[in-house]
Amino acid sequence: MVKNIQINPKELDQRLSRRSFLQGALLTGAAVAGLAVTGCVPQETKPGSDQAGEVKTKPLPLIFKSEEYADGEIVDADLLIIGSGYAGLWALMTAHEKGVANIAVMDKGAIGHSSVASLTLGTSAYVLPEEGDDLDATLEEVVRDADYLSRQDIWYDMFSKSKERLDKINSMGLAYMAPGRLTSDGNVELKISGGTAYTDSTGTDRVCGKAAVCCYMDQVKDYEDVKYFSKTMATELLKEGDRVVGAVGVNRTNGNAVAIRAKATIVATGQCTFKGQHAITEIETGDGYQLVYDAGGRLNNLEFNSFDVDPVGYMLEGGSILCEMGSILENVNGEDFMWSIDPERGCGCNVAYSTRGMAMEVAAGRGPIFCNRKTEVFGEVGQNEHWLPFLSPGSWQRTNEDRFADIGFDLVETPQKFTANSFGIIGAIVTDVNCKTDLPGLFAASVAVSTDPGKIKGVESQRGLWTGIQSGTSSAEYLGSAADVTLADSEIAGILANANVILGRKGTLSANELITKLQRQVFDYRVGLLKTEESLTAALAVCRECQVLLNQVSIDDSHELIKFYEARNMVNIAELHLLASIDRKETRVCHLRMDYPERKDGEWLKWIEWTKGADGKPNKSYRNVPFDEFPVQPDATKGLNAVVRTITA
Amino acid sequence: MINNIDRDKCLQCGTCTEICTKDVLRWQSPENKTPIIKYPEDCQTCYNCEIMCPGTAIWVHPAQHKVVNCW
Ligand SMILES: Cc1cc2nc3c(=O)[nH]c(=O)nc-3n(C[C@H](O)[C@H](O)[C@H](O)COP(=O)(O)OP(=O)(O)OC[C@H]3O[C@@H](n4cnc5c(N)ncnc54)[C@H](O)[C@@H]3O)c2cc1C
Ligand code: SF4
Ligand code: SF4
Repeated sequence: MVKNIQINPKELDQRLSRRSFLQGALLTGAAVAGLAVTGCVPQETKPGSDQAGEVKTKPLPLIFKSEEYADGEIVDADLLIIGSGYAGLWALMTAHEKGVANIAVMDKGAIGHSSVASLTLGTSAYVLPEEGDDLDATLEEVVRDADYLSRQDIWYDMFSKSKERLDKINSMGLAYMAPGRLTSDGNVELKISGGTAYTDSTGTDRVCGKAAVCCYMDQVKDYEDVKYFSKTMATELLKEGDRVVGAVGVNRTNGNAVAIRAKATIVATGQCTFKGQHAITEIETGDGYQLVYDAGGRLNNLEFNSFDVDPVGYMLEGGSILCEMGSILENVNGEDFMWSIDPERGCGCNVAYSTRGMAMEVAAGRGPIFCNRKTEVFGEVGQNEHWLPFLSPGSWQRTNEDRFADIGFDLVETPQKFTANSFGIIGAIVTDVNCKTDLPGLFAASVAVSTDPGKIKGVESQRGLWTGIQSGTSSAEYLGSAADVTLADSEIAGILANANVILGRKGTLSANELITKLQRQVFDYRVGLLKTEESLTAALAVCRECQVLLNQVSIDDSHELIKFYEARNMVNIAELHLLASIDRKETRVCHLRMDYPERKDGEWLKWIEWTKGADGKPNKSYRNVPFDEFPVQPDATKGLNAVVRTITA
Repeated sequence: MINNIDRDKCLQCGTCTEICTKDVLRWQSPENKTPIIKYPEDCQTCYNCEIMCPGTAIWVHPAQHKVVNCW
């Protein structure tokens, strides 16, 4: 029987309060809002010092200063890039290299630094066809493991240009901390190199995603003619007929609304993970999906959603990788149950199955699930060169694990309660292979571009880079002959006024309360993992209640205004996700219908696409996968679905 | 969740308020760049502020207080 010694926030608080070395006010919990250093004003500039009195400061990091704008201001640009993670920064680099000047970059956080990208393991996966990898075989594996709904044109282009990207990464001085390895994620084999490392222009050593983002920021820091609008959340795209001509955003610090009127726009805003508990996904609220959908663009693959293997109550990135490397998922009886689900790989199997296996175990009354990474099981963590990058000194993950050790919690030797946490919707914005959407002037980049219904771990960062290059190139070409924007100030004024008109509204619930209500539905394993008509329909009803409740959310200040918009986007994307999940009456890759466990190639080798109807309601259509244009042909005897049959048998 | 900002170490550089991924930290006022933990309930325990703080003044508590629908 596994001993239930768990991370308990209350106990942590107690241990913490006994710490004597902490200086200044010690704060616990939400009750201390706003009190941290109130009334204690430090001197103008003063070096920090540790307890021994030693001077201990680091250089100021490179931060791109935001433009200041008055409420209702309109700014003109040639190109607007919304989002500054891997995709946004690479789009910026590419467009600039192609000669585009007068670029505006908008981000709801700080430029670069508050992206998910900056908190990843790094820019991490690639295949190198020029160095012996068989590109056709790799493509076949990827497509097969996505049960044949992949955008083969996109994957082929992305894989075939990976050497180019890697050379560029190398030329920027971004290094890999561990050698490339062949990893098995399902049957897909990709070379995944460990986290990245970089010494930035301030002379500071950075690791993991921080290294990559700081490196890309160094590349663009001297660009003239780029204006940054940080802490500014895009809430609506501007239209001139069918053409997209920029966006309106609101400032999360002061609530001011700004319009960037631009000849071309790239949406590079990341995924929709419903602010899940999975490590650091809270900014991924599907904003780009909503922006494009509202403007008349297409979304697809929204029924496919992924979960990851994660601890309850603390942060860990790479839970499924831990399992691949030998740690074990155990049920409440201490049984290593995953072998009954995947006899070949046990809990080292594809995360789509391990998470569903966990859910099946809980449904059978053998939960909760624990992760055992004891040294006797997992081996010496310190000796595992592939796990080591996750724990690079200076990364959040290492800081986190050390912090637990500091206060006497051993995450390694004590099996921890684990769950399957939502990693979000896999589907996204539909574009062509050049990242052009259906709407003139609008391009998409980042993981918000729909490529695949499956989950291939570790390639998202490359998808960010690839989409950045494609959209940067396409937008530059478009700008070569794009007409001037004629949308008048007076037409923009109303949209601007609308963007923050609800600021100060008194309602009956907070955005957080609404989000929690939604999360309870979409994260429920019966809704997200083991879907049935009944569970999905019930969740949809709650989702629609949430849509109504949006009108009752209190918006006390600009911080809450942003959360309101995030809630709006998540609720609307959840509705599409649930509608699509109900519609696809079969089981395919990351969409497991317990009531339709078979993959039905005859009927369902097609994408479900969503546009916004003239009545504002979701409009559904189908598009067949164009196998006559694609090299890999479907094979009913192959694909991940075979494992699903084992689970549901 | 972010737990402490050591006022004796703080350089009032504005880095943490700028880069906080969740807008948890704010200046005390536009004139006073002392950071305050204004929205602690929104902290996602990402250590971004702590890692980037030039004054090593920030200490993040490792537990996540927000646990939704775990099973
Ligand atoms: C903890 C974690 C670790 C990961 N590790 C890896 C890894 O090691 N390798 C890998 O390949 N993938 C990894 N991933 C996947 C990861 O999401 C991508 O690799 C990477 O973040 C993709 O970059 P991006 O530019 O597409 O999106 P993001 O990095 O999410 O950037 C999107 C940007 O858009 C901004 N934004 C969003 N909405 C708006 C709006 N409405 N207005 C203005 N700005 C907006 C955001 O603030 C953000 O800065 C990881 C994901 C997580 C959560
Ligand atoms: S980053 Fe550190 S030094 Fe700078 S304002 Fe914040 S707490 Fe103070
Ligand atoms: S840990 Fe992350 S979310 Fe929390 S205050 Fe620091 S930067 Fe913000």
